Formats: sequence, structure tokens, C-alpha cells
Amino acid sequence: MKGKILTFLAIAVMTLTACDNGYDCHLENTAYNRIGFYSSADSVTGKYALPETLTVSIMINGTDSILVNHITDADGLQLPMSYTNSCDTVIFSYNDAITDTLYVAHENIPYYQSMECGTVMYHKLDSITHTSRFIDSVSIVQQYVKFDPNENVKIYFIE
Amino acid sequence: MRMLRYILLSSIMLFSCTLSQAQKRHSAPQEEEKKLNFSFRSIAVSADVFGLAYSLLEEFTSSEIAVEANFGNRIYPTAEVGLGWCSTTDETTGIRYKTNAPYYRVGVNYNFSTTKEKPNPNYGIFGIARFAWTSCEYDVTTPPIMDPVWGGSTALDLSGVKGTATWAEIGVGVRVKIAKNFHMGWSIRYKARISQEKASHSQMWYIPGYGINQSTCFGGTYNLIYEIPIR
Repeated sequence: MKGKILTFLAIAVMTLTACDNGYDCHLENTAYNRIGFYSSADSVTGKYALPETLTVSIMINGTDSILVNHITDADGLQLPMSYTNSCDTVIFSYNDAITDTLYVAHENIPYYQSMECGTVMYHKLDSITHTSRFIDSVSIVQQYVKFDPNENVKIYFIE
Repeated sequence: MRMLRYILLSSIMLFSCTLSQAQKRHSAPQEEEKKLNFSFRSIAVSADVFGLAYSLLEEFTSSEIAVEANFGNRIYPTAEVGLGWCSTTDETTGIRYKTNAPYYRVGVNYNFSTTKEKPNPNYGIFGIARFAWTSCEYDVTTPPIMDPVWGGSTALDLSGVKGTATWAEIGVGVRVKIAKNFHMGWSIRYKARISQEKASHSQMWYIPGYGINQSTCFGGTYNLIYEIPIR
């Protein structure tokens, strides 16, 4: 009996000290709208790399601010969304000559994770309207913008 | 570490009591019944004082009372009702979290010490199984969340958010008779969350009766028990 109790006490102490209170926190608190580029002529074969250089700007209080500058062969991008606006204005500039504008309407969802991890911001995409110089159409494929790697939006370009 | 020291100290106390009780029983084997039966014997009420002591160290804790029926000194169907409370502010994130709510557990204790040869031991080593649930409301206030790209900020100030959770517990416990009809004992429990209801903007950080909201955790009780003899 004495041996059994000692064994039990040893196990109890070991299990107690092995207790893990760790949390899996997101490393950043910004969830990005993941956008994929596709060809309107061939939407089956996969991604479409834009032949033009692409510059992406956002409009903040009437002033444009460049997010991505002169990238080539882009087949997608990750777009940060406003925490406070209900509609973001995003400008695609091709070869510094032609532009398309996207109006991304969304809801902002501040989400409390835990005391240790703090708060993150999610978004829910409502609709996207656009001009059509190079862009043929836009579709929302995953409405909630969170931290998963899935695409949220597909943009189909005119080839 | 203070909690660990507390439990170790109490273990040694219980261990000493257990040994002395065991020696007494060895010296008087003729008093023992020879037949093990599972008939109803008594009802006991108990209070957990570990949670009350823990509240001196932490900003969140829980404490409960329990009622159990004794069948043959071996099987003890048990119901527990407790109150969990939490009011804390994280120094790093500046988030405030507040809740207090009741929780409920039902289950059984199984006394491994009762044998045919020793049907009425004054001590016991128990296996513990519980199903538990709670329904609570909590408040969360966060400092402003700064938008690093677009500028501006927004904050969360939620009050009365509803949350529910269920979980299972298994564990072991030690109990010893300290006076006529009075026992004391402690238990260590491994808890596994079964389900939780998440709100649209938050989830529970502290679950009353469970602890910090994670998939598994450990808990403990230190009980003072009064046994109401029936037969």
C-alpha cells in the first residue's frame, strides 16, 4: 500500500508540473484579402501572370498611397483592408499608363482571441465593383477574410 | 510553485493520516466485514476550499460544493455545483476580462481501496469521472486596435456576451477520515473541453469551473467532507 501511494503521488506531481497553459496566437493582427489573377479567356488552366508591370495603390482620405510598386509577372496579391472604412478604394495601374479601380465593400470584425493573444481584425466581403479597362470580372470566392491561406477573390483579366 | 508546494504539503499530511489509519485497520482485522456489497450507505456533502485559497494568489478561481451517495464504500455518484469568477487585466495587451457564473458537474467516484477483505477502510484512493457544463456572460474591453496600413483605430467594448461550454474530467483523489463522519481529501483532475459556443466577436478566455479556455487543462480540489450516516 505504501508503495502504491508513493507511486500515485509521484505521478500526480509529474502530471501537475507537465500542465501546459500555452496559447497558439496569430503572429500578426492583420488578415489579408488574398486575390488571385485569372484570364477571362481561359479560367480553367489556372493562374494568369500579368504581362504588364503592376502598381497597386489605395486611396486614404483622398490621397493615393502605393502598396505595391512595379511588380512583374504578378499572378495575385495580398491586400490589407481598412479597419474602419466600409468601402476601400484600390487602384491597379498597368505600365504606369492605364488604371482600373476596385471598390471593395466590407464589414470589419474585431475579434478578441484571448488575454495573451489580444485582438485581431477579420473582414467580411460584401461586394466588389470595378472599372473595366483590363479587368473583365471579379468574383468573391471566400467571403470571410481571416488568416487561412485560401483565396478570397478571383480577378479575371481581359487578355 | 506555491500551488505545487501547497499540494505537496497536503499530500504528506494525507499520506501520514492514511498510513496511521491503515495500521489501525491491520491491528483490528476482526472488525472488518467479510462480504462486499454495493448497498446504499450514506450521503456526504463537501466543500472545496482549494478554490478559495487559490483566489488569494490569482485573479480567477472557482469553488464548489458537492453531494455524493455512498454505495458499498466503493461507488459514489456525485453532483457538484460551483461558482467560477474572474476579473483581470492583462499587463501586456491591456485587455480587461470579467465574468462570474455557476457551473455544474455530475459523475462518479470509484474507491479502489475498498476490497472484500477491507470493506470499510477509513481512507480511500479514488478514480474520478465527471461531465460538466456552464453557461455564462462575460465582459471584454480592449484598448484601440491600430490599423497599420489605412490608419485609424477601433476598439472592442463588449458586455454581457453569452457563452456556454461543456467538458469532461477524469482524475484521481485521496481521502481520509479525520474524525467521526468528517473526511478530508484532495483530487487532481485532467479536463478536456468537449464544446464551446463562440460569439461573433469573441470567445471565452476563462470558463467557470474549467479554467483558462484551452482544449485541455488540469485542475484540483481540496475538500472538507461531512458524511451523513444513513445505515
